[in-house]
Amino acid sequence: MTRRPLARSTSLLAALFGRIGLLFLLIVLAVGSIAFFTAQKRINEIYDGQLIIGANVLRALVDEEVSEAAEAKNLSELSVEDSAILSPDERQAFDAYADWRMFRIWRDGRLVMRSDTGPPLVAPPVQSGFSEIAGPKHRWRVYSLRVARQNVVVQVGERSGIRLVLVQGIALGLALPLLLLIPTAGVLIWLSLSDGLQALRTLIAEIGRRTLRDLSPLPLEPWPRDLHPLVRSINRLFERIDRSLQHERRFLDDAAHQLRTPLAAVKLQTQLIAGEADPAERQAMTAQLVESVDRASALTDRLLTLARLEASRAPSGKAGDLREETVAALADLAPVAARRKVELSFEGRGAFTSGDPDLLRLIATNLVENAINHAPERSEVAVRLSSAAGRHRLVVTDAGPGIPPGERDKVLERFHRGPAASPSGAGLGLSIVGEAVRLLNGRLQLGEREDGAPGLRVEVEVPEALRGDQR
Amino acid sequence: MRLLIAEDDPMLAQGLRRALQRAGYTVDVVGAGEDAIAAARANPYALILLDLGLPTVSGLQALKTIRGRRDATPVIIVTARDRPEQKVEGLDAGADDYVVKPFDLDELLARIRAQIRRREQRTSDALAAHGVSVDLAARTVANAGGPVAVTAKEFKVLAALMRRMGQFVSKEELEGALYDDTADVESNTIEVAVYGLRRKLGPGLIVTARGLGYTIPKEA
Repeated sequence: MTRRPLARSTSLLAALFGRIGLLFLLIVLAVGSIAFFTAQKRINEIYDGQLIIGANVLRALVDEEVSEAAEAKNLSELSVEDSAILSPDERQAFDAYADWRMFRIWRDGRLVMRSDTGPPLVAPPVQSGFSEIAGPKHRWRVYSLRVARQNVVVQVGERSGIRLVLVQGIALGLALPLLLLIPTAGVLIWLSLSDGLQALRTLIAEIGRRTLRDLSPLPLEPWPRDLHPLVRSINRLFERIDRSLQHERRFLDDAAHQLRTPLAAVKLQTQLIAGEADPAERQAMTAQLVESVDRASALTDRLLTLARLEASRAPSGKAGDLREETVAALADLAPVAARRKVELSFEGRGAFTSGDPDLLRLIATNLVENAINHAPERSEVAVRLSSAAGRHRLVVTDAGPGIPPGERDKVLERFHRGPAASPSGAGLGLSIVGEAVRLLNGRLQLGEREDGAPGLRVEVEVPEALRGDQR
Repeated sequence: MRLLIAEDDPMLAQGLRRALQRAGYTVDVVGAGEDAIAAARANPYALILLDLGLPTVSGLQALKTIRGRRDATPVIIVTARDRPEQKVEGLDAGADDYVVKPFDLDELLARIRAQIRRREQRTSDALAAHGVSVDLAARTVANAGGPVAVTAKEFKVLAALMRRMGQFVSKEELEGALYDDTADVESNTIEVAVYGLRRKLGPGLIVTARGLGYTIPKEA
């Protein structure tokens, strides 16, 4: 059984205990009340029965005496106390028997006999039956037996209080065990609840022991069925964490892989330079080395950009203009295009307000750079902007080799290098665009040129910025 | 000694070519898996350096294809993939050695020599016959009078003949060891080299037979 400190008032255990305890108390009260009222009813029935029997017995006993007394014609003077009907012994016995009982015998409307106990005199009812009479001190329950033949009424009664005493006795006898039952049951309920919650505690401990190295799903069998939804939710969470960890690991793996090749080139060139005696050769090789280092650092930049994009869940709330960012990207890349003898063209007028300007810039830069890298000499890279139905569309078209339909999904994967990958393309550009578009809730599509000429057409759609809704 | 480099990163491929040429090898470079398979079929390479992350056909697939046609040319995988299971996969696919980028040039050269040695069933890179010793690793030649300076071409011809001592080596085979695919073969290069070697190491070392080529006879 648990030896942990008891849960605080807000704890599940205490709340459950409170409710079950309350319910138990209600049940005890209900059982007690039912028992009390049932006992009262039975006692009433039994005592009423006794009164009826008593009245009949009395009538039978005194029948003769009543007749005689009536014939003696001095009935009005008859003193009940002095009545000769009962012998003094009998009389005493009757009195001792109970001062909580009474009897009265009437004949022809006159009182013939009476006990010295009882409520104030009231004329008896015409019919047989029970009545409640209030005395100065006590209430009485009286049964009147009417014997029509002799015009006699026999009344037998007893104090109502006696019944209450009896009922109270029974109720007390019942209440004591019930009162003892309450604390005992309380302890038992607490212990069973605490035992029942033990499974939950074990599960919590089990989850607490888990580390990032062990995210295997928890088995369902050891747990009570009530906990299965919880275990399943935890397992789903584990699965999601595991997937994202694997994603991280794959990214690191890919990144390391991508960086090792340029580093291998750098190292090799360094070793070659060390062994080269010819100064002219050395100079040429040093230039190559610098180029390799530049390439490795450009790759590192892209990897970091992609890692940051993949890690971010929501873009900043800033609003940028797709046109401004595209134009700025074209200005940046114009020298590269000129070196590769690729012409740039741009179309798009007006405002193209959308999401995070940094992401928009990243999209434009990578798409245009990618197009320039794949475009043959003396071809054109066309950039077009348009808007429709609350969405801005950026289309970049080149005259390069294009991407076969089957390859299009793959090029969006990180580090994919198509057969036509250009030397400086590390296969990250389209992945970066994909991630940025995802963050902007946009859409990225690769396709053929609309004029049917060879080349690639990349279309990006981003939602127009709505006030107060930057997600 | 003619080697094939299958590496799609142009900077690294260029550096490797230069390094291997400097080490006295003749080098061809390809940048795609398909080209590696075709080149290995077309030329009897002494060794292939194979990158795994090649476009079109992966390096691993190219290796399996090469081994699939019972080509036992030594293959050293040179790759960025460094996980043990990747190494196991590469070696099980038929590679003779596995080098992870970035590698040390001297180590790579030593591994290349080791593979060639094993292929030629030699125990040492130092070869000797008729009082002439050739150190393939140090690229030096010596006779009884001490070190002898030879040109790169003379060394390649001498090394090729010493390796196959007692066998005739045709002029075409020697040319294949001297020139890569990009170079134009000069018709009398081999004769010039053999003339130089005879002058420096004595006229009896290399024997010529019309129609068969050249040989260094085994010592009795």
